[in-house]
Amino acid sequence: MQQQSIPDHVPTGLVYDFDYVNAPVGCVHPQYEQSRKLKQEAPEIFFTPRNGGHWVVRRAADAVEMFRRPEDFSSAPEYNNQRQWKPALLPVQSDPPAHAEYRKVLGAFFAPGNMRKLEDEIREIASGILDSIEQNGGCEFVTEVGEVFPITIFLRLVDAPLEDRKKLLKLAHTFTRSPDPQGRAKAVAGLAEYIRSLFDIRRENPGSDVLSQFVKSNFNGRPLNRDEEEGLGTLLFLAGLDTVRSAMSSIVAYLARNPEKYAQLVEDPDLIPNAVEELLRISGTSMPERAVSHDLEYKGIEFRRGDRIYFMLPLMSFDEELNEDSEEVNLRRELSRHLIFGSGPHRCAGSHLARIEVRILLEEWVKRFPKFSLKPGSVVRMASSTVWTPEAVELVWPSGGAQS
Amino acid sequence: MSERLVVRVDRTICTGHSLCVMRAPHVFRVDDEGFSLSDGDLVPTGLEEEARFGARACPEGAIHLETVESGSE
Repeated sequence: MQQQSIPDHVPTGLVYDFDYVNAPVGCVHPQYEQSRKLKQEAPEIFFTPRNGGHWVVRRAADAVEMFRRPEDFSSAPEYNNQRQWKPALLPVQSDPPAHAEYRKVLGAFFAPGNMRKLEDEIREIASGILDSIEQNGGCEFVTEVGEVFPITIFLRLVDAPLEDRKKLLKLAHTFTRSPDPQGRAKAVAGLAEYIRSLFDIRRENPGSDVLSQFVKSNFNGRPLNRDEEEGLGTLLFLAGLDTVRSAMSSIVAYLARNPEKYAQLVEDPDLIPNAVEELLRISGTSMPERAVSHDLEYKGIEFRRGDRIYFMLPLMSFDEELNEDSEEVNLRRELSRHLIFGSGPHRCAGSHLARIEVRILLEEWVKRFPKFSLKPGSVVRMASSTVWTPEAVELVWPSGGAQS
Repeated sequence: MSERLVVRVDRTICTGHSLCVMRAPHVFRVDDEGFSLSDGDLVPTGLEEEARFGARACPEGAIHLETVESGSE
């Protein structure tokens, strides 16, 4: 673990030792456990010497405010010495006004209406995966479902062959599992190389897939350059895989441990859309980062240009300002408020797709598995990872699935 | 004169989450990309609770409901 000295401008009272990559390890429900721990022990905004030394924001109100000030809390790589990736990931590593232009390119494709059109195809993919494991009496959810489902959708969106799955998953793992900036940069370069080969094909033979859209789209009246195309394509891949896999795996592990909650979904599948929001609320995976663009003061705290700030979105769901009785999981909760998709201009562009993926997974799951549980003797271990995820979720169900 | 609710949306803050329309589909409207189109809309009588619910769902706090005398809007 890289332990660094505390910069001079950080007061001792604001230092708290927190390693966001390893924090989930040993937890059953890290989002809830770590939120409780930080509420009890840490200032609302604090500095940790871990992972290169960075600030941590744990309250929703601060995140919403700071995300709205990209001129102060920037996403651009020029202020962040740990995110010098090539290509820069777009639109996440850009600020307004350029960000808005990149975002238009993505936004048109990931628009809610456009994503709803994919529902049938997504359901077909989910059904195929679940049909293939139904008779097995159990599965390791993370690798057999959580990983396969979103990457199959991604490969359809970019119209790439399914056999590329293994190679791509390996690169994605290197990116999310390694807090080491060089290891992550290498994974980004590897993914960009793959995406480049797809772009070369699309330039010759454009189709209706999302990469063809990038080729056809323009940025302030000019075509996107190669770096921009690859930055958009690489991000698409990184953003849509590990996050969805992790959230789904956490959700299924939760339902396996809480059969009385799962029974509510089996008895009343119409409850699923509402339950998805509550289950997402407690299953946040991602912690975005900003870098301070100039020396400034926020809530009496002095920040220096180049300071990095991590936003603990998964913990903010347990902020009492967002939800009363925030630690209670209530699948009929009237309004499950959370920031797991972020807020402000960088709000997750894939949120509409992610919600559909999780809902369809659960709708198809309840049809096949009226009862399931963790494999006796197995333990769900949380990974050491920049995206919070279980390592493995071993499940069993009465063999023969719904027929038994 | 009876009181009515008018939707006020700060469109500089709306980022297209679409939760308003997910939670209160009879009150709110969004464009193709999920950004609010409801600024200035009169809340239909009887749907005040749904409107409040949808407004509260906005993660950005971009939606406010303003009370007006009916006929003035």
